[in-house]
Amino acid sequence: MFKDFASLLGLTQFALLYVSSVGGLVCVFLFILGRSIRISREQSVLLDRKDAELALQWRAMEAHAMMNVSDGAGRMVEVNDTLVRASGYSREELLGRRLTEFLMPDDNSPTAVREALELMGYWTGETKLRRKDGGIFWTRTTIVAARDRNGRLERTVSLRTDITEIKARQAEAQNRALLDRLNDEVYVFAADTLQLLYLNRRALAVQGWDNTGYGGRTLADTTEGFDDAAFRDRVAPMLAGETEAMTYESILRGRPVEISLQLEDGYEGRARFIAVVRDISLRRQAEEARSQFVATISHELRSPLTSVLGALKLVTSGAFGQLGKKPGAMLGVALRNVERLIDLINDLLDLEKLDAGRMTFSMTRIDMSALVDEALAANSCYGDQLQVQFRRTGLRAVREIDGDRARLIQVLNNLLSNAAKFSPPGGQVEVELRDAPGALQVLVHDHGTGIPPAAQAHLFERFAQADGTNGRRPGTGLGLSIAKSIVEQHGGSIRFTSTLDVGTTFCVEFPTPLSLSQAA
Amino acid sequence: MTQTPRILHVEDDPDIREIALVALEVVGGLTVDQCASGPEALERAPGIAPDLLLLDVMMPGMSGEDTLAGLRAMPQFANTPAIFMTAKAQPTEVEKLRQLGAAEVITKPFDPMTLADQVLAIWERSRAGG
Repeated sequence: MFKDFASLLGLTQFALLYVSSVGGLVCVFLFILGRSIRISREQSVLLDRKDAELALQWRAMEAHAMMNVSDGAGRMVEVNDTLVRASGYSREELLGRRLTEFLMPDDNSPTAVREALELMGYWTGETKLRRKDGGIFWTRTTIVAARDRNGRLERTVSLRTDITEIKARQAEAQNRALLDRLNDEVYVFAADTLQLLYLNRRALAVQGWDNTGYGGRTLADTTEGFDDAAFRDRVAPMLAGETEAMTYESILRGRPVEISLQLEDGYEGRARFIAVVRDISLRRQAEEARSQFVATISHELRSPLTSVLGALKLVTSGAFGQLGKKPGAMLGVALRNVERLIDLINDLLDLEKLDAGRMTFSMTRIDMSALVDEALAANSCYGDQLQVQFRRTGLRAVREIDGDRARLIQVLNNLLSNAAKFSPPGGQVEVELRDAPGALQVLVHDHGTGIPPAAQAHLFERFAQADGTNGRRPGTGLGLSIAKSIVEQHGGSIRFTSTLDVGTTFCVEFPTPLSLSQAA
Repeated sequence: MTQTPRILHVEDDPDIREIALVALEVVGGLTVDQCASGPEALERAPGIAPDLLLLDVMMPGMSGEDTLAGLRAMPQFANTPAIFMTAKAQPTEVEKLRQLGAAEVITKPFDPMTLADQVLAIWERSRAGG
C-alpha cells in the first residue's frame, strides 16, 4: 500500500514538472482518479479476505475447542456448542452459572487461576470437570482476562481442549508400568473374542513373546489345550452381571496357579477381562509341609496313645481281675481323658484336611434310612451309659442320597452323641427321617437343657461349646464345625432350633439325587 | 470247635506289642508270635508258620508294606491273610494298603477288648474266600 502511495507521489511530481497544459492536467487527474479507485478496490478485497480467514479460523476453533465467556463475577454469559456437547448440559443450564461449579472436588485449579489472572492476565493449565451424566472430562484450558480502565475484571474468555482420552491413556500407561513390575502374569483380553489386548512383562516372558508379538492372538494361544467352552462356562456368571470378579485355582504348564478374573468396560465401551495368574507352587509346598507336619504329629501322638488307651482299657475292663472302687474310678478318669485326646487329634486332622480342601469323599448312592439305623446302633451303647434312649421316628422306607458313607456316619454320630450328652438321665432322643421338596431331612430332637441364646450364634464355630453336659464327657468343640463342613461338601445344610429347658432340634438336609440331576 | 489262627504280629513299639499280646492272648485266647521289625519277621516267619499276619505299617527301616512284600515272596505266605495296623487313618491310606493285598486295615488306637474278635472275624472272612 505504501509502495502505491510512493508511486502516487512520484507520478504527481512528474506531472507538475513536465506537463503544463490543462489537457495535460485533466489527463493527470483522470489517471490519478483511476489509480485511486483501483487501490481502494484492492484494499476492500484484501479486507474481505481477512474476514473470511478469521471466520474460518473461528469455525475451526469452535469445532476444536470449548469456549465460554464469563462476566466479572465468573458467571458464564456465552458458551459455544462444543462445550455444550462435551458437558452434556444444555446452553440454558450453563448460562448464569460459574464453571467452577462443574469442577471435580479434587481439582484445585481455581486458586491458581485467580492468582495468574491477577498477575499475568491469563492462565493455562488442566481442569477436571464433571459431565451431567456424572462422567469426568479433562480439559487443557487457557483463560484470558479483560479489565476495565479501573483494573476491575470485566470479562474472562476460556478456551478448553478435551484431553480426557490423553489422560486415560497416561493413566493406563502408568498402570501398565506398575503391572510390568508385578511378578504375577497379567493378561487383558476382549470379553467377546478373547483377543489379547495387553500382557504385562512377566506374561510376555512366560509366553516367550515380545511386546508387539501378541496382536491378533487370543487367550487360547496362551495355554496349550485351552478349553474355550469350559472357560466361557466359567465366566458366564460374570458376563451375566451376577458377579464382577472370581478367583479359582488351576494347573498351567504343570504348575499350580491361582487365577483372578475381573470384568470391566474398556475405553471403547468393549468389555474386557483382566486375568492375574499367580504361581502358587510355594504356597502349595507350604500347605503340603503343614499337612505333613500335622499328619506326622498326629501319628506320633497316636502311637503312645494306643498304648495308654490299650493299657487303661485292659485294666478297667477287668482283664486282670476286678479293681478296687477308688482305683477303678481314677483309672476311669484317665481313660475318659485319653479318649477325649484321641477325639481331639482325629478332629484336628479332619479340620486340617477340610481347610486344605484335601478331605476326599467317596461318593456312592446311600440309603439314608439304613444309615440312620446304623448310627443308632453305634450310639446305643453311649446312650445306655448316659441313660438316654434313642427312638427312631418318621419315614422308614428306603430314601437314597449321594454321599460318603463314613463321613455321613460321622455327622450322624456327632449329632446323636451331642443329643445324648445334653439330655437328662432317663431322657429320650428322637431321630426322624422325612422328605422335603427336592431334599431329605434327618432331624435329631432332644429334650435337654437347650442352647443358651448367647451360644447359639457361635455354635458352628471351632471350639464353641455350650455348657450343659451335666458334667458328662465334654466334646472337643470341633465336632459341629466339622459336621457342618461335611454336610456342605455334600451340597446340604445344617441348622437348629433350641428352647431353654425344652430341648434342641438339629436338622440336616441333603439334596436328593433327583433334585441334583434336575439342577444339572 | 473252631480252629484259631496262629498269628504273627510285627510291631516296633514294645508297649503296643505288649498291649496287643494281652489283647490277643489273654482277652482273645489266640496264639501270637511277635517280631520287633520287618527283617526279624522275614527271618522267623518260616519257623513260626503263621496263619495270619498282623503288621504295623510305619516301622523304621523296613516298613509294613515292604515286610508284606518280603513275606509274599515266600511261597508258603503267598496267600496268607494279612491285616495292617496303622495310625494313619485317612481313607486314601487305608485304600492304598488294601490294594497291597491286605485283608483289612485296623486303625490305631485299637480297642484291646475287641481286637481279638476283630482279627478272628477278618480271618474267618478270608478263609471263606471274602
